Amino acid sequence: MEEAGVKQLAFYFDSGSCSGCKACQAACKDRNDLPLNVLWRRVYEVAGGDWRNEGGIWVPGVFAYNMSLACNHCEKPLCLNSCPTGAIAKRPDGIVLIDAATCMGCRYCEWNCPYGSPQYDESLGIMTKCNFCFDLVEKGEPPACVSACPMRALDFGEFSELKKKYEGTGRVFPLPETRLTEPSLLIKPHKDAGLAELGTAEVGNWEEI
Amino acid sequence: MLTKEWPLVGYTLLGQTAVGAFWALAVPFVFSRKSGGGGGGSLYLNVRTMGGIAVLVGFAAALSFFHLGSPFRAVHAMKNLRTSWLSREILLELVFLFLAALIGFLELIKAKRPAFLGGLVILTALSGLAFLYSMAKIYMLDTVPAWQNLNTPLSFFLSAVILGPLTAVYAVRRIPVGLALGGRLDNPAYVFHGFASFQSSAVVVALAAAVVAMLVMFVLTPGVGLLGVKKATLLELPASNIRLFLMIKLALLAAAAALLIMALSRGLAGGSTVDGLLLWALLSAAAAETVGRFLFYGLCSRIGV
Repeated sequence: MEEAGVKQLAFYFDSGSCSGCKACQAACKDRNDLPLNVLWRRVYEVAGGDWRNEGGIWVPGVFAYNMSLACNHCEKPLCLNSCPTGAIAKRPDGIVLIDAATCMGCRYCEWNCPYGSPQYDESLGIMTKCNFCFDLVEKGEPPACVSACPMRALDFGEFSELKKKYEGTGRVFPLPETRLTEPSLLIKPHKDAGLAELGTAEVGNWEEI
Repeated sequence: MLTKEWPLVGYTLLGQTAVGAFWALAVPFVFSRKSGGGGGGSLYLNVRTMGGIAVLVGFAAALSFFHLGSPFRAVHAMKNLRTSWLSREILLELVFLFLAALIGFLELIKAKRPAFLGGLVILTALSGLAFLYSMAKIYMLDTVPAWQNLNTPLSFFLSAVILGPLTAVYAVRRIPVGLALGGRLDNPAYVFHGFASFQSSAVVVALAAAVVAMLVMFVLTPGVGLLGVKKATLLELPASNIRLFLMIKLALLAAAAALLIMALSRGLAGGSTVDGLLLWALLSAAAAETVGRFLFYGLCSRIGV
């Protein structure tokens, strides 16, 4: 892909199509042989809402949707700028990588990334994160998470091309404002994602991610 | 989660104490030069006090290694001076350490007071300030609203100004810095070099800083302060515990202030009673700052996911 003039690889996620099966999460963990407590791709279960009074009748107004997130290989990666060792670098194709031989495991990038992407590997004593399965991508194959999704809710490619192919946004609850890091992420929001902004939504599965 | 930052609690507090102690020791030197008193004020900038500063900074640095997953790779820690405040902090810490050690070394080799000593002392004091500033900038992150405000640099500065002068005064009283002159507490040399005014000024500054710190707690503490960040949660602990920690810190600072007032009321005159009062004031203030810093790290609730 690098030879093809890719400037910024990105993920696309269709929240409305995601069933929350977590096949992407499992495929990533399996392919990268990740230890306990490390998940480079995570599926957040968002839920919220309340009863609504409609003409004197109380009707349920609840909603739920899933958000599958990995590293967004940001245009302005705060992890890279904050890393004291220079272990984090951005490739010409936009993939942000951590050099395992240089990282000293200070975990400063963990404080800086609003997406929970850099994760500490207790056994190695260093930070690790999604590498976009760059070896597969260089062979012309999709990353493991994209291949594994049975709903075809995930896609990847050159960011500008993805924007032409799909409509979407970079921010859906519970994600932060995109101006912070300019994430290379396009999300087609779930139809109820707007309700999440009204204040009752929360992530319901923190204990498993 | 809360306990994993203990090395950083120790690192930041010891680093700030070292800088504050240097400032306290440097003030008599600067003032004695301004008032035409020659180099008398440099009595406090000797190999023992500068050695003590170096030990504090060195011990702080050693503690910081305990929060690294791969401490042997710390050699890479200054590779990103261009954009990382963490790299800059480590560089500035080493600059401060080197300059303080150089002042001590000049005393050790009994070099004739070089003409540049005044500049060197001021440069060292400024490098300490830059070290504190870089330390605060590390935490002032867009992703952590509880840290991205005035409370962070102000509380770091106040820690230095409370703990530093108290440490300097206690060390100078207990470990006579004028040994090279055959000095003791009752040696007229101390009186000549303004030992009493050095002590009282340092203790008054620490006392004032403790009072300001108590006020700042009520105004700027994230989550509960009048003007502070409203939305803040203490990781793994109920939000009400922020108030509990604050009350403990307040009680300890108030105890330290009361002890300092008692010591001042005795004129800080020599004797084990005043030494005891100063020691307990220092320990109480150190405990207060430790509780406050523990709370600071506990408020690291990052935005996003």
